[in-house]
Amino acid sequence: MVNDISVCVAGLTKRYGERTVLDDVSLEIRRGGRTVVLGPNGAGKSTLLEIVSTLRTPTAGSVVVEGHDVVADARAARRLIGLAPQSNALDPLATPLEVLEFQGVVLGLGKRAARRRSGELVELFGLGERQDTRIAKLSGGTRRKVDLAVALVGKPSLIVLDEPTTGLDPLARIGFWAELKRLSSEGGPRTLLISTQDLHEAEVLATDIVVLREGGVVAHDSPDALKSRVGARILTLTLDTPESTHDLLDAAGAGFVAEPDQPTTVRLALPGDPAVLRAALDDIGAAASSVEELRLTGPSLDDVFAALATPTTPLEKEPA
Amino acid sequence: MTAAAASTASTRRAGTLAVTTAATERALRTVFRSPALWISPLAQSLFFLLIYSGQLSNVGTGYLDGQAFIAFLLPLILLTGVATGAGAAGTLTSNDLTSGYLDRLRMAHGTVTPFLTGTVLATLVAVTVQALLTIGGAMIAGYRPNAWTGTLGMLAVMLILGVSVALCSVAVAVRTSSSSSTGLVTLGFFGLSFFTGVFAPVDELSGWMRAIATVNPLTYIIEAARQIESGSALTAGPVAALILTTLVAAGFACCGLALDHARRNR
Repeated sequence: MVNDISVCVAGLTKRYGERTVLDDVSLEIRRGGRTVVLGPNGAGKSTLLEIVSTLRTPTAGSVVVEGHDVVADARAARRLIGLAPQSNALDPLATPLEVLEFQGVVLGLGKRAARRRSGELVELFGLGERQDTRIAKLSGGTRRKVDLAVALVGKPSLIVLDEPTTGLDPLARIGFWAELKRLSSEGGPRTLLISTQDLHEAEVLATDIVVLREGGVVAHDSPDALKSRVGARILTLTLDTPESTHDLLDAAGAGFVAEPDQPTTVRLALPGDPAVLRAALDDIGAAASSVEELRLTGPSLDDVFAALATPTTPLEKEPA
Repeated sequence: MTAAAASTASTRRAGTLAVTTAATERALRTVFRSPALWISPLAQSLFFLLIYSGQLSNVGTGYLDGQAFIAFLLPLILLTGVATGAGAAGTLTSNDLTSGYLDRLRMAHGTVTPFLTGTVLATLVAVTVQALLTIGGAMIAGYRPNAWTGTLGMLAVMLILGVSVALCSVAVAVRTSSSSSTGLVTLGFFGLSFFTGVFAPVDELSGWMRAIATVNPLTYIIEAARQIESGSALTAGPVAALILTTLVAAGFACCGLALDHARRNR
């Protein structure tokens, strides 16, 4: 339904000279959802987010945010977007309160309104004790909170976050994820578009996942749907030596694959097809004397990423 | 009311003047919280002033026709201070560019012009304070203004030059996103300033030094500043005015070209 769509990307291509960073990408991002963009380095995640945020212009195709084209109607689109870029894009010599008030004035709030909005955000993010401390002296987690608060000054309906927890310690990350979840559910439908390299972060945050590879969309679905696409269960087998692992991989009829960086471990995504399970049991039986450990687990986003972000997976085209 | 509608209602297009004013305040705060940006040019100016006037004032009396050497030296000292101090505009711009903050501000307002203008204005305020402190230092070292209007006129000439230096350094920052590259603008003006009549009028120079000083545009700016300060006939005025106008126009043109390049490569 058109009304459920916050961001519509159609045939988006971005080239820098001969290099194509995004190639005919089409996506629809659901309003009120937390869409996480995954992909290896150079997949085009940051470029996609920058184009959606009006910071870059597409070579071809279009991006429409809440009904406003980000090129033809960039001014209107910008008012609806709050951006938290990859690094802490803040003035390190200013205090959180100064940065928030300045952002308010820049967005067109009067000085008084900007001050009031800054106060609200300071309270919302619990920055009261640090509001007059220079940003350069804040911890990484607090700085990231300020970053997010700045993105919210204009009460945007779409918040774009590029690798939001990079460099944060585990506790700060957990706290930040909680803030993001709270933001997406409070105060009306607010859409979050997040890029990350961290699959655990995606697991925690995502209501929808887009997997990019080589500038194209490999998959776009809910985390559960993507996991079921990879396989209902993952069978992991550890053998005693790399040689016996090679022997199993050479002889296996069930499609075991080697685990990257683990020379004695193989894995198999088990679909619902019992024939695959029988073939796997035959393979395990043949290698029984070498088996040291066998685990059956549900698929994780690591499995989704490994399966979809590798160059063997065909690119997916979504209808514009 | 949807969040989108609330957002549209709560924000309006910010007036360029209000944003430029806020951007200038913010840039001023940044300059004065970065001691290296303003202490260094000030210390350099005072250092040159003390060393040159201390070592060369007796030499100068031979050809200055009764004029105090420190008064003769002051325009050059102010020029080197302006070349260094106004270059801070490029450093500030480069910092905002590399951190991504300028992109964020551009996204919020729609254009970077008020932020770059604010940076240039704030730098000029800082340069003015530095120049006034330098003049104060010169007075401690023995400088006595012929007339305060002349001293302020000399300062105004240097600030117009500062506009050009600031604009050029901003243009280099926008084009290269490198603070070390913006230093080249300062280096250029700073270096050229020593190929003028630094310690003696151009007429007193000879050979290649005189040839270079004669074609060096900064020679005429320093000469005009000296004439304004001393209240003598402003023979270098027309050429200096033409050169200053050209330099400022070139600064604006460089900024325009750099911004256009950035826009086309977004």
